[in-house]
Amino acid sequence: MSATTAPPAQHQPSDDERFIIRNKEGIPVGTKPHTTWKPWKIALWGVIALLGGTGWYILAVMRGETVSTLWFVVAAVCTYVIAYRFYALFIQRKLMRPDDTNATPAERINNGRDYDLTDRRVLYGHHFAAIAGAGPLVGPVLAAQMGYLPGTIWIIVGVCLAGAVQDMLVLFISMRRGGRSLGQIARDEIGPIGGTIAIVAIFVMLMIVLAVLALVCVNAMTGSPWSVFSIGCTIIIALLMGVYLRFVRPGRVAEVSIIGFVLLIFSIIAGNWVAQSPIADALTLTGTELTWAVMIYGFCAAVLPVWLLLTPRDYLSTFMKVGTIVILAVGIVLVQPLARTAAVSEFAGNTAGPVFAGALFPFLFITIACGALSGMHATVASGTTPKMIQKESQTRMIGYAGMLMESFVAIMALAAAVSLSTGTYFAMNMSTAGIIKLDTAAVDAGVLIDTTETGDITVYLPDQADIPSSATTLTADQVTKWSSDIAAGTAVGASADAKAAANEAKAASAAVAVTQLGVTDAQGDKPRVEWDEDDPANPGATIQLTDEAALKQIAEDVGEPSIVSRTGGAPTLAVAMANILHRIFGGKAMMSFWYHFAVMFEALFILSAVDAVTRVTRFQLADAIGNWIPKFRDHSWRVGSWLCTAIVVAAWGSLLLMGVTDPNGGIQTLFPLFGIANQLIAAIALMIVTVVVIRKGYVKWSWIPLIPLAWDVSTTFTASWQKIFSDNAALGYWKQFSNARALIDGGGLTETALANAQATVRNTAIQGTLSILFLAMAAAILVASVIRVITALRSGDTTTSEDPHQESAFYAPSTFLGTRVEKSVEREFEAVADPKFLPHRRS
Amino acid sequence: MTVAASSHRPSRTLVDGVSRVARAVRWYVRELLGAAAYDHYLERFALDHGDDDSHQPMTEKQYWRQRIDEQPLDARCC
Repeated sequence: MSATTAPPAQHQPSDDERFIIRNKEGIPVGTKPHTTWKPWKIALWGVIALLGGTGWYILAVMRGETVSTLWFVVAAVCTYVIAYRFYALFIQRKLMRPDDTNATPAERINNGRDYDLTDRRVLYGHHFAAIAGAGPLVGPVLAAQMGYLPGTIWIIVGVCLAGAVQDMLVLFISMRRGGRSLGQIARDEIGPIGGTIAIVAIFVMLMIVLAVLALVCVNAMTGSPWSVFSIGCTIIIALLMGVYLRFVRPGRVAEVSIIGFVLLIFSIIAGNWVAQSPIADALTLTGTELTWAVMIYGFCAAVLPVWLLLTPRDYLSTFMKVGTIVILAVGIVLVQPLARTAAVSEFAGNTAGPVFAGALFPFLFITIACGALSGMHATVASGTTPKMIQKESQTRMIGYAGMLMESFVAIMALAAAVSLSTGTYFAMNMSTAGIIKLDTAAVDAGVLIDTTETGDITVYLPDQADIPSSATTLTADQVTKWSSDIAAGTAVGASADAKAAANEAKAASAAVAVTQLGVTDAQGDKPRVEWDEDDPANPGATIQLTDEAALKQIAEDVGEPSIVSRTGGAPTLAVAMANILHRIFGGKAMMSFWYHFAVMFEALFILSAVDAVTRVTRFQLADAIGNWIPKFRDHSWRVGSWLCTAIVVAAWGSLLLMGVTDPNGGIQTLFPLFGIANQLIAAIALMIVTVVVIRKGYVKWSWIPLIPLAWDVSTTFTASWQKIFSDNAALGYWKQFSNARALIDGGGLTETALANAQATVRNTAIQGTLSILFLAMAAAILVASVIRVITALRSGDTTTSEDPHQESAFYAPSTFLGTRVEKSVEREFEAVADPKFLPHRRS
Repeated sequence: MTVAASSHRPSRTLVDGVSRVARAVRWYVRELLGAAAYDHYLERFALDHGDDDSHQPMTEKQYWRQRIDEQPLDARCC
C-alpha cells in the first residue's frame, strides 16, 4: 500500500521513499525489495558458489586421499547461504507472499505475555533453542555406518529442499491463523476426521520419540558412575536454581544461569572423584534400574510446579546449546580432523549394518531425522514462535534460517563421528549379542589372536602376512567364556570383580568382532580398532594402539569402565568430541572432562524433551478424556493430573523398558521406529501445508511442498512396509516374531536363550503393531488430504481459514542485520510509533 | 549503561566500539533469557495505567511468580 490516502511524513530521502510501504496513517510498516546487483555482490556470490562447489567436489568426486572434515563445513555453509538467498526467497515471493501491511498475531494481541512482539534476532535464538536438541546430534552418528557421503548429502540437500521449507511454511501458515497449532489447522483445513486422526497420530508418535530419546540417555549412563553422578547433579542444580529464582533473587535469570553453569562444570569435575570413590559401585547402574529412574523423574518433573524444575533447566539447556555448538565448530575448524570412514560403505547397499538395520533407501532418510527434516519442528513452528513474530516478512529469517542452523549442528556431529577409526565406531555401536555372533564367525574364519605382554589381545586375520608364531587360533570355548563373562558382569548385583572381568571380555570380543564386519574404511582396509596415544618415552609424539589395548585405552582416557557396545550415538559423539577438543583445550588430561561434558549436554537436551513433552501431552490427554468425564478438564484437579501423567509416563516408559531389555540392543530395533514416527509427523505437516497452498489457489506452486512430501511419503511408507512385511529377519518385525516363536516351539532352548526369544516375541509384536498403526494413520490422513484437494480443485473454492486482514501500524526490518534503508525507516518509525509497540527495543 | 570513556584519548573510537558491542551482547542475552521481562512489564504498565494511581504495578517478586506460573510450555524438540 503506498501513501496515497494520507500525505506521508517525508522523513526519507525521496530515492528511498519508493521502497517504503506505509499504512493509511502514513506510518511505515514495511519495505519493498530494494537491494540491487552490484559487481562486488555478483563477485561475492561467485566466490561462495565456487567454494561450495569445491567442497562438494572434494567430498563426493575426488578419491584416493582422506578428506578433511573441514570440507563438510565449507560445503554445508556455502550451500545453506545460497539456498537461503535464492530458494527461500523464491518460495517467499511465489508461495508465501508476505504482506507487511497485515498485522501479525503478536501485533494484534500484544498482551506482553505469550503474544509478544519480539525482536527478530531474539526470536531467532528462541526458535532455534526450541527446535534443537539431541536429535541432530544422534541421528547422523548412527547414519555414519553407511559412510560419510550419504549422510552429508541428505543433511544438506534435505534441509534446503525439505526441512527448512516445512518449518518456514508451517510457521507462516500458523502465523496467518493467530498462531494456531498444527492439529487445529488440520481440523480447519482438512476436516474434522482427518484433523482428529492427525492429533491422535502426533500423540502416539511423540510417545515413541520420547522412548527412543530416553533410551539414548539411559544407554549413555548404563554402567557409568561418572555420567550418572553428573547427570543426576543437573536435576539438583535445576532445583536449586528454581528455588533461588523464586525466593532469593526473582528475575535474575542471567545471574542464576551463570551460577548453574558453574555448578554444572563443577559436577562434571566432581564426577571423576565420585567414579574413583567407594560410592562408584552404588552408582554403577543397569539399564533397567536407570529406566525406572528416568520414569520416576519424568513423572515428578511433569507434576511438580514448572518454576521448580522445568523453567530453570531450560535456562541451563539454552546456555549449553549455544556453548556446545560454538565449541564444536571451533574444534572442527582448528583441528580439521580427517574422515576415516569410507565415503560410501558396504552397509549402504545391504541390510547387514549392525548399528541399525536397513539399506540406504529408505533407512538413511529415516535415521537422519532431525537435521534434514523433522516433524517435531512443526509443533514448535505452530506453537510459540508464530505468536511472537513482528512482521510477516521475517518468516524466512526465522523459519528457514533457524532450521539451517540445526542442520549445521547435524553436519558437525557427522564430521566428528566419522573422524573416529571405523573399528572404534563399530565397537561402540554394536550390541553385545551382535559382537558375540561375529566372534563365532571369526572362529569359523580361523582368526588368530596373540596376547601381548600387557595381557591384551592382538587380532590377526588368517591371510595376514606378519603373524607371529605365538599367535593361536581363536577357539569357540574362548568366545563362550567372553559371552558368559559379559552376562555375569552386567547382571543385577554383580560383584566388582565380575564387572571388571566383563569389561575385559567386552574389549577383547569387540576387537575380534570388528574385523569380521563386511565393511572397509577410508583406505579400503578391514576395520580395526585404532587409537592415538601419547608416547610416554617421547613427549609430543604419539603411538598408535590397536585392538583390545586401544579399546581399553579409550575407556581409560574418557574415564569410563568400558566403551564397548555403548549404542545410541551419544557416547560415540562424546568420544569423538573429546578426541577433537583435547587437542585444543587441555590435552589428554582434559579428555575425560570433554567426554562427560558431551554426554551431559546430550542428556540435558533429552531430559528437557522428556519432561516438557510429558507435561504438554498430559494436558492434551486430560482435555481428550474431558470430552467424556468433564472433571478432567480442570487441570488443577490433582487426581486427574496425576492419573494423566501416569498414563503418559507408562506409555513411553513401557516402550523404553522394552528397548533396554531387548536382546538385540534396543537402538538397533527401535531407532527406525523413532525415525519413522518423526518423519511421519513431517509428512502430516507437509500434507497440511499442501492442502493450505492448493486451497489458497496456488496450484502452480504446489510443487514446493509436494517435492518434500512425495519424498517423505515414499521413504516412510517403504520403511514401514519393510518393517511390517519383509521376510529378512534383520528388517521385518513380524519375521523376527515368527522366527522367535518357532524357536520357542522347537524347544530345547537354554534358560537365557528362552528368555531372549520370549523378549523378542513380546517386543516385535509391539513394534510390529505400532508400525501398522503409524502407517494406517498416515495413510488415512493422506487420503483425507487428497479428497480435500480434489474437492477444492473441482469447486474452485479458495476460502481459507486465515484471519482477515488487519492493518498494521508496526515496523521492523526483515533482514538479520538490517539494510541501510531498513535502519533509516526503523528510526523514523520509533519517532512516530504507538509507544505500546516499543518495549524490547535495543536502547 | 554508560561506559566511562575518556573523551581525550586517541583510542576513543575503539573504546566506543567495544562498549557498543558489549551493550549489544548484554541486550541480546537478557532478551533471549527473558531477564528483561520485568522492565518491559513496568514500561507497559506505565503506558496502560499512566495516570491511574489506584493501580500499582506488581513487585518484581510477584511479577516473576505470576509469569512463570502462567507461562505456556514449549514442546521441546528432539
